[in-house]
Amino acid sequence: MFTHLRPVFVAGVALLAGLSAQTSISGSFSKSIGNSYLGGSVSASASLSASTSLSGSAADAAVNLGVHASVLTHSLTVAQLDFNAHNDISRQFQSIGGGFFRPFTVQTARASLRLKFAGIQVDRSLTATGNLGGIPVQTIQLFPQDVAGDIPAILGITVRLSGNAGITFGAGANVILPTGVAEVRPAVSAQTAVVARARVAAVFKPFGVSIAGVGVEVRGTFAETRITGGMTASATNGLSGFLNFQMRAIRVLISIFGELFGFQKTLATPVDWSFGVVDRDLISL
Amino acid sequence: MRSPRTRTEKAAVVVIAAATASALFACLLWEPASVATGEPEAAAHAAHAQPVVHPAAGGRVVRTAAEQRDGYYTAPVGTELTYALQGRCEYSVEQAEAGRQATGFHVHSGFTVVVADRRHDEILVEVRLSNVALASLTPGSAATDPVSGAAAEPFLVRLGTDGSVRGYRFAEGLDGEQRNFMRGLFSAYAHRVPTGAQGTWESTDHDSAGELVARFTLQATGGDAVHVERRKLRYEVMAGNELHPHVLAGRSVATLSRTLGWIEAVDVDERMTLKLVALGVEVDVRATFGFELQTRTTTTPAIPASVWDEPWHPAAGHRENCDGGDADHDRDRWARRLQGENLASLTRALAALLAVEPQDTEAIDAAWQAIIWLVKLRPETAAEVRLMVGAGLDTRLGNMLLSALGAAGTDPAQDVLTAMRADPGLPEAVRRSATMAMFQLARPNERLLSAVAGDIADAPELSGDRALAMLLLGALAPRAGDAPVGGRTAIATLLAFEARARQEGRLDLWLDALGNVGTDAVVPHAQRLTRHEQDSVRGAAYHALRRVVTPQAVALLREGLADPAPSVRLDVITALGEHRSPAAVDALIRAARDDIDPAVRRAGQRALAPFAKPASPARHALAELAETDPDPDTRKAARELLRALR
Repeated sequence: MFTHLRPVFVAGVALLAGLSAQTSISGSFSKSIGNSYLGGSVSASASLSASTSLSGSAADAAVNLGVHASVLTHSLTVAQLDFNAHNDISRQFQSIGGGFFRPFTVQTARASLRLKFAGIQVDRSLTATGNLGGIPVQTIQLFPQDVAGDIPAILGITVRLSGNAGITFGAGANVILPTGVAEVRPAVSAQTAVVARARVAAVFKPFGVSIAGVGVEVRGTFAETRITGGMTASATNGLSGFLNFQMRAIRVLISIFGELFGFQKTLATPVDWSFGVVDRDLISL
Repeated sequence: MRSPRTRTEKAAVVVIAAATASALFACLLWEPASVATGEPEAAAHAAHAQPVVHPAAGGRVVRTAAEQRDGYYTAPVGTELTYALQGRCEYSVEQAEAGRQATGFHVHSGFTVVVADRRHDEILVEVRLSNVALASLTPGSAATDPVSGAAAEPFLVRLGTDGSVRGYRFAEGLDGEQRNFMRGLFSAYAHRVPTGAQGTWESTDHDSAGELVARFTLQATGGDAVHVERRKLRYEVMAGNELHPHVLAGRSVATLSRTLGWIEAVDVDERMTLKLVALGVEVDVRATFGFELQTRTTTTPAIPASVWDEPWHPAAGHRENCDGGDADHDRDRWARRLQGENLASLTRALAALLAVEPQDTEAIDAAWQAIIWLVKLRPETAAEVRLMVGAGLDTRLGNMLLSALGAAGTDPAQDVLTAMRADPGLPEAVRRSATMAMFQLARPNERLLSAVAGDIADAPELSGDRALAMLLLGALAPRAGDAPVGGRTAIATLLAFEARARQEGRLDLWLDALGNVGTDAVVPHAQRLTRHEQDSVRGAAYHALRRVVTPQAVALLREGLADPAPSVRLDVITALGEHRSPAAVDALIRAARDDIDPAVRRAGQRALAPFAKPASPARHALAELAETDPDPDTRKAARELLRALR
């Protein structure tokens, strides 16, 4: 049945294949740091793609940065950047009667930037082209109130755990979505930093006055990251540009203290979860 | 620790021993049924047999049926026993790299126990501390700290007839730490000896740290007393969500006298090492205590019988909230540290750190913490910050000072932020920074909430700072408690802005603000707008569910994965990525595998990455997609993600 049409079908498929082209590139970085008492994770990714086909052409770009911190088993998103841009031109046909169709094109261009800071959305911008705004570099506390937990021990001694984190985030984006061509040209930048603090103190204070207390404070500085780059994804001219991701080495400071004795001894201590500086192009063309 | 008996007491022992031997003999002659039916309580207390020590039993005590019924805690109501209590508690915190820091205290006190009442299988005792002297073991620190106020009030303990603690009734006004100190003392003193106990047995017990299993051994002394040794083996319940690794060592020995029908002396030498493995910290506590009987008298207890039926504090102390003292503790520590400092000096220090490249983030954080505490400790500092920032500062420095106001969260700080946010004389960037600082507030006050809500209501359009204000209102609403905003709750106020947002075509912004609320109050509103005609509104409606981890929210998000617009499905994926639940991961796997749009599938892959621990479903899914996705670029993206995860 319809065997006479097979050559036409095969030729059609071959034509479609010849006229379709797709290219893309992506890069990512992911790292878990420390543990649920003091640590977190960093993930960054970027992708560019462009395609053409008989039905039209499209270009996309995406950049994501996510930093999570965990302090004494309480975890929260420190900073999250979600950038997406899309620009496509689709060919469509309008019936003009008598079995004739008139071709026309439709362009859809949109870009969005969503920023979350300490788990709270602080910015969301949508545009068809231009500045997506952002937030200047800010430092805030990760948790509105310190996270805390007490472990009563023998005879009214309390092992007291408390912690929080100072977090820094700043980000912005700009994107050009030209008309008449399926192309996206984003420029994105962001920076983050986390100083997580966990304190363990053994205290005896049953009658209003501390008789004595001793403890350790562990401070981990991590997720000092920076993303910068400008890229182009074009159905006509292909992909170009770069997106660079940097992360500074992790540092941990440990202090041991005596509450009533007025001393605090701080030691800079390398720990197992430290590693060197990361400087990587997630996208480089 | 035991005191030599007085001549009078020795005579009493002889008389009571003779009486109990006669009673035992009488019991043997009379029919056993009379024993089983039980005597009046007073008679039971008056007549106790000497324990029979069988050489063949290895010195273990073999007790008569009557004694097995009555137990060792047989002292009659009205018995008042006063002990001399001496104790020493040493504790240390150790971190492998930082070393060990130790301290401790010793305590001397009178410790009086009154048998106040008995009913069924329970005993009520009243405990009083007297002449308490506490002293630190560290030279130069506080010498003594006399117990006063509520801590000097007696407390009641409800015991089983085996001496097990069933509950406490502490004086009102004691905090968790004080209750645990009393609980710790009494649980060290009380030793559980079940009726019929012989040799060695294991039993559950309670103390200030939690619920534990202990091994008890009963040993005869050859006289009228027995020794009960208790070795704590392990805690089964402690504070927190997990049982921290711990090591217990040492023992306590209680001497129970039949003549007394109660505890005569206790020696405690116990040690507990608590390991906080994740932080690399060990806390070691060693307690050595002695209770030595000084006097035995009789009294007429005046405890109302109704107390049995009133609320009691639990026997174990692990649920006590001890953080009441923590804020004071931090406050004292920072007050000492900030002596001689002021805002100008601290700001100079922070400015110097910000000027150095590369920046020392940890040092900057420490300097910023100092400013936060200065704002908390000295109310006038907030106004000083306003003057300093208003006069013009480096942007980052100014932002950090304003943010310190938000982190401190005091009323003066909130008032300054409210005023600066609305001050048209300040640069827009400064006003915006004041708004950003408010996102940290743990308890926003009524004035601030009303000002933010009023600003949104009066704004000509919902953009720029007013859009940020809407997002802020969403973030603060669940923290506002009962603080009213124009006669409504903060959440009701936010919900009331829907009409305004609809009118301006900013339902997406309103939904984003609802997303910041993060409670299930959001669900019906988000659900309603998942059918909106605009992609941006539908996307925001799904995204508003990102912090609502309920089955209903997850079900809605799963539906969102079938939305016709790819941009909406991207928002759904972002929301699912924040859920961090197995159901959300399952939905993300579906999106990464089945979505028709490669860009959406790649977004699904990226959202899966944080959950892709080795051997996890997310990891398996990524590995599969790296091989099977129909789009070569999407397969490549999955391979790239897997490489980054290694």
